[in-house]
Amino acid sequence: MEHKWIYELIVEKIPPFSYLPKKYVSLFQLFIMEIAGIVIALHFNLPFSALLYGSLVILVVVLWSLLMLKIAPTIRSFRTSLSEEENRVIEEYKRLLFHPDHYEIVPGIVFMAIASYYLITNPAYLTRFTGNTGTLVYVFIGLLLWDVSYRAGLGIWVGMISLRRSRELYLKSLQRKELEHTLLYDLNSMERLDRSILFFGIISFLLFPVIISSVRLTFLISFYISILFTLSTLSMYYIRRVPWLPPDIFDLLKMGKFAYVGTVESGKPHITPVVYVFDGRFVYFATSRASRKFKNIKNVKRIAVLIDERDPKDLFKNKAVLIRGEAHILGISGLIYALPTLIRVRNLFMKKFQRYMKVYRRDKSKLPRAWQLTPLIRRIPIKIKPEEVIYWRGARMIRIPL
Amino acid sequence: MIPPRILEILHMNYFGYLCTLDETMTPHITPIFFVYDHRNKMIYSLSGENSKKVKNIEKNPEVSLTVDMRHEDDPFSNEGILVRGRAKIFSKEESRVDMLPEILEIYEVFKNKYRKFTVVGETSDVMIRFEIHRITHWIGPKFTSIVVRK
Repeated sequence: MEHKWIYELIVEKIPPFSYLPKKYVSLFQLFIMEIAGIVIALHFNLPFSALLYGSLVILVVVLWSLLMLKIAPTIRSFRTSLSEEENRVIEEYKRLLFHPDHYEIVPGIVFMAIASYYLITNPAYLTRFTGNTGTLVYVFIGLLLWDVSYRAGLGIWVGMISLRRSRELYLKSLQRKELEHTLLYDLNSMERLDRSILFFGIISFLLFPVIISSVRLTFLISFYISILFTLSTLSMYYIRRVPWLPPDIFDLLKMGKFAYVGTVESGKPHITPVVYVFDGRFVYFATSRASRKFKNIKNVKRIAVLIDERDPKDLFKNKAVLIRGEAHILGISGLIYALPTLIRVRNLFMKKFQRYMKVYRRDKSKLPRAWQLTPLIRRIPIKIKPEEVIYWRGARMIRIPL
Repeated sequence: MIPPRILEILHMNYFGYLCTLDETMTPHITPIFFVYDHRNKMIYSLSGENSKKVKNIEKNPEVSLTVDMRHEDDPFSNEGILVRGRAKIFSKEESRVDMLPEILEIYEVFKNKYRKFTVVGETSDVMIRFEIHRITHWIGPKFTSIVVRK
């Protein structure tokens, strides 16, 4: 049975939310909270600034809700890992996040308790916004406070459990055998999820105008944001180190030097050998702007790359991996974004092809224009984004799920 | 006229890399065994009838093949050829009678070339005949291109 978060259940089961298409739920929530806020503000003659501050808090609640409704289905959609151990980590991750006892509200309750304690012991903080008013205002503020606390708690809960998942996946991935691996698209979703948590933290900055008058609240929220940042960046750090390929293929890609690159030349296939590097995630090769394959890739992005290892004595020990997908030109246009990648790729080339580079440097004058290694101007790195991976071990063909 | 050096590459190498296109226009590459018949300037290869390359060729006969000698230390010594052309599939059953001698002969050539590696033809149901249109030859950075058939 599929478990859900309380907020999701409310949205799905309780009218009027349950009648709305999912994408409008948060917008509708924004609308009714705002209306309620305005009615209360008018009725109790609250200052206009109270309305503004209240609206800001409502905006944060709604943005967080949007993120939650995006994150939850992603987490539930993870497929079975092809490593038993790693699959256990993923299953445990789902189980903790969607526990039938709703552990996810625990941090929210803690936050609510801390905030309530602060507001009760420092009544001046609230009256600065509202003046002395009726109970209904406090009820509304209490509701809003719970909305904020519950979501903030959920953010930190997902962040914590995700970091744990990433770290364990990484550790388990070091012990993989042969064809064991966790699927690429799921690893990518996990990374996206960690980025969402980072974004969750960024949204909290919107609370600053409301809390800046209180040193202690400012400190608390800043602390909260820095924890979210730490959790999500650490989690991304680990998850990026989990190979999306099984060790057999990973080693083949690391060890190989030459690749065959297939491109499309006006409706016909074209194939050439290249030297390549593999950074643990993607295969890269560099090509000259003047080359046929560069022109082909500019026209049609579809690409295939085959890397193989030949056993000179026994054909049945030959291995080959074919990666098919899309070529990405790392050109000048995306320079700033791609700069770390470009430096990494360049270093990998320098290390892997030391002897080649030596020859290039020595015979610089003899080089034809197309071979001159002026990075980015004549030689353009190409990244291969995989969509299909096929592996041959001897005569056996294995499709590697992504 | 195919220069002797290219003939040498075609005759002396055991592996070629065949590139085909599928219906989504995505290239597909497989390492293949092949033999070259200089009399009709055709390249032959054997394959299982359900292989991806056979399916691709049935839909789009345009193929390209590369045969190369790699050099680990010196990029100036890398040498190879890119052969472009059109392929045709011959299954054992549908082979026309007049094709049979050609097919049987090619099987023999195959057996001879790959004798020391494997038993040829046991799992291969179809023969791919590959008509050469154009050959590009390179040594290091120097490229030359010749047209074999128009």
